[in-house]
Amino acid sequence: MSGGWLETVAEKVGMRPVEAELALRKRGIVADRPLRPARTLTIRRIAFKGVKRGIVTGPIDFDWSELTAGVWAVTSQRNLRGKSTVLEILLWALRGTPKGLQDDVRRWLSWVCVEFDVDDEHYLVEFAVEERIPRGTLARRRSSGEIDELDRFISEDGFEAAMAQFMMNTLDLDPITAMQGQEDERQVVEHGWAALSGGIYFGGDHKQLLGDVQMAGLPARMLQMYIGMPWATTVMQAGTAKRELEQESERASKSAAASAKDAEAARVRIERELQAAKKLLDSFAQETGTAVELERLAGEVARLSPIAFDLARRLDRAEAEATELERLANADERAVRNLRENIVATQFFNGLQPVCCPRCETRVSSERLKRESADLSCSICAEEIPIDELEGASDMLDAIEQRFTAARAAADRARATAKALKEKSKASSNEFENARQELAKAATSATFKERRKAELDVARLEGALKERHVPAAPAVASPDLALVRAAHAEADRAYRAGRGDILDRLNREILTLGQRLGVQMLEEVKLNSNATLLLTKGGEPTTFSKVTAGERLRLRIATATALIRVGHERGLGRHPGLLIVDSPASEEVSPDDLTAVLSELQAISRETEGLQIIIGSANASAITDQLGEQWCRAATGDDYLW
Amino acid sequence: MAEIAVASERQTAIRLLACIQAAGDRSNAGRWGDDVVCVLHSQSRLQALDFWMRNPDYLANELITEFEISGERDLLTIAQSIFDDREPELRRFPMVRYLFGAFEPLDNALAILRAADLVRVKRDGVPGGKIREHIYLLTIAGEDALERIAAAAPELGWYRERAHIVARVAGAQGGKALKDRQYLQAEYAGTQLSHVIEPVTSQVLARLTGVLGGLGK
Repeated sequence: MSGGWLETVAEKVGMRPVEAELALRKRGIVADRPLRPARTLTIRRIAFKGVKRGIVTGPIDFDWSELTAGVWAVTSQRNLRGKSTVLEILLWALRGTPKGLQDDVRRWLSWVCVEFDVDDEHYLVEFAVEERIPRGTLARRRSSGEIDELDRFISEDGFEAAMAQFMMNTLDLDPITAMQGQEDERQVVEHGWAALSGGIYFGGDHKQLLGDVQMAGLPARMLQMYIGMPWATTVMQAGTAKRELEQESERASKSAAASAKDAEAARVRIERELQAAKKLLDSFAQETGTAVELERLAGEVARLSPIAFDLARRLDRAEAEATELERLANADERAVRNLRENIVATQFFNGLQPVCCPRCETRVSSERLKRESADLSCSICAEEIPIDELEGASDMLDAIEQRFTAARAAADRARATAKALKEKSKASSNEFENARQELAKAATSATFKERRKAELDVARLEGALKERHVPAAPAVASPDLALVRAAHAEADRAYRAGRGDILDRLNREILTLGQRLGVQMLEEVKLNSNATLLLTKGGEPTTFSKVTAGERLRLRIATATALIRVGHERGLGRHPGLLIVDSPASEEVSPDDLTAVLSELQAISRETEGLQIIIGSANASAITDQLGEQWCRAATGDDYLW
Repeated sequence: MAEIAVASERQTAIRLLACIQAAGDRSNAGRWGDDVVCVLHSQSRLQALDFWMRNPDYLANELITEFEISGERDLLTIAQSIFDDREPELRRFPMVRYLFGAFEPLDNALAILRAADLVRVKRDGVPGGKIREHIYLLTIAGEDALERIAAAAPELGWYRERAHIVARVAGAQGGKALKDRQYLQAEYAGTQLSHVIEPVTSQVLARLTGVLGGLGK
């Protein structure tokens, strides 16, 4: 016994089922829901109020209630008397967004209420309209009569979102996803309630079998959805995700291929440039301006700089020392000379005989002179004459002279040392300066610059080339792709296994219903998986799109009804059993034909539980005659329906 | 310099004696006494002469200036020898700048000369009133003493030789005119009142080198 879908998919890609489920859910892919009968949607009441303005004036107060399953009609003697408006207002309430409601009528409206049942639950949509904008609520009415508000809205968008959310959930519908757009630029689009509600409305020119959104594949998907074909939804979800991932992967590999091509081109270019740079570098080979030579010169400068600096410093010190010693020697020399001069001068002046007082000019008396030589008292001031004034002077002179000689010798030696140092310092600083200039010259020489540039070019290009040799990373496909592919394949397998004879059964039912609804000479019907209908009429093969508008309408109704009936029969499907048919008189060939169709629809509805058909038609008398007044809202003559 | 070199009173006495002898006016000296050899007018003139005696660098500068006026080459030779003998270092006795130029009281040194009657000082002016000027008279004994001093030691002989050079530079100019000349020296004039007059050795040496270099061409 093999495993379920999820188990099989997970096993194929080597994941645990729980992981696979999470990854698939993130991609919007879920397993098929369990089969169950479709829900039944039945309109119970359509009511609205407002004021007519313009050519026709007056209050609007339309209220049509107590509706049940069966065939109902809004009709007027003449066209443009409001029958379409009733259907449009009903669609507005169900969809949350109007379909073809005339703008002036929308302006006239002030209040709308639509009540409906889904199986045994009662719901009502009620909203006020102010300047075209709906404001109201969606609510559930319990059997006891109490109201539970489910949602509320104050804008067009809010109303649409509220109804879509409610209907998709309540009617068990899944959004239809598809890839749309130009080749390679497709994007995932989602068709929700606004598109799916096309399955209950039959108006316009009946171009498509189901719905009215012109998009390839959508009618087929809607058909699969509404008939409840097992795994159809999962196949669709996985198919969309797969196409999206494949597109991504393709884009990535295209871009990887493009960059690989670019990288190869760059590699070739760099190789070429490298050869040129190497050739240029070789041409410099014998020049002196090499980096090695430069390094040697720099080393020489570095070696000589501290020597020159040291010598300069030593010279400064030696010169300062010599200057100081010379100063001391000079001081000593001055002292020697002063002392010698003073000794001689003192001896000389002391040897002179005083003649007069320098103060008063009085002549020095002979008595004073005598006293001076006898008593050693000064002949001028009578102070005692120091006889030993010059004693020791020659000793002192000797000492100072020796000191001076030593100081002079020291100063001379210091000066000689400083002079020698000066020579050395000068030589050293010259040597340093020469080396420095040589270095500067070498570093700035044109040859060196060019060579250096060539060296750098070669190094740079070699680096760039090495980098290019790393192979470009291959495009990595999303890890989800394998999973999604497996999910798609498995779902498709289950879909093919599960669809069985449903299509055959549908074909037979559509044929029967089509014949009953008066499609002339219909002999065979074949529904394709792409929701085109191949027909055989009067022995000739034809298609849905080639028959008349009236026949197309009949075939559409036959198809939708067949979905409902086969669904009921098999206990599956999702069509809610409501058909809203807006049909201008032109599609009805004659009152007799119309009567026949209505009669047959009544019969079909009686056979089909829960089927409700609401028709808008311009042939009032034929319709009321056939359906009975209690099933109709009719306007006679020029009257309006509301 | 650690300390300012100060001459002894006796050295100053010899310097002044040499100045008076070299710059004194010998004509009509006998008017002041039989034994008067020459006469030197005014203390300011004596001070100015002494300034050059004590500042060999300023003197050398004057010699160069004189050379530029007269073209006498021996003036440069003398200037050169001043530097060769390192006189600015060995023989400079700085002087304080006073209100009217370099000034130092000379009284003590003059007293030594006066006591032995080598020099006589006359004060010209109204008795009891303001002294107009001092007049220095050199006696025969004074001139004889200078001769003996110079013979006693070559160092002291230098004073007599130098005084003749200073007298040559000063010419017949009075004290005021000499001080004005000394003012011309930027360094001298730039010295603030009551401050020691700064040496100009390096500038003058550079000037001399320039002048000699100009001659060499």
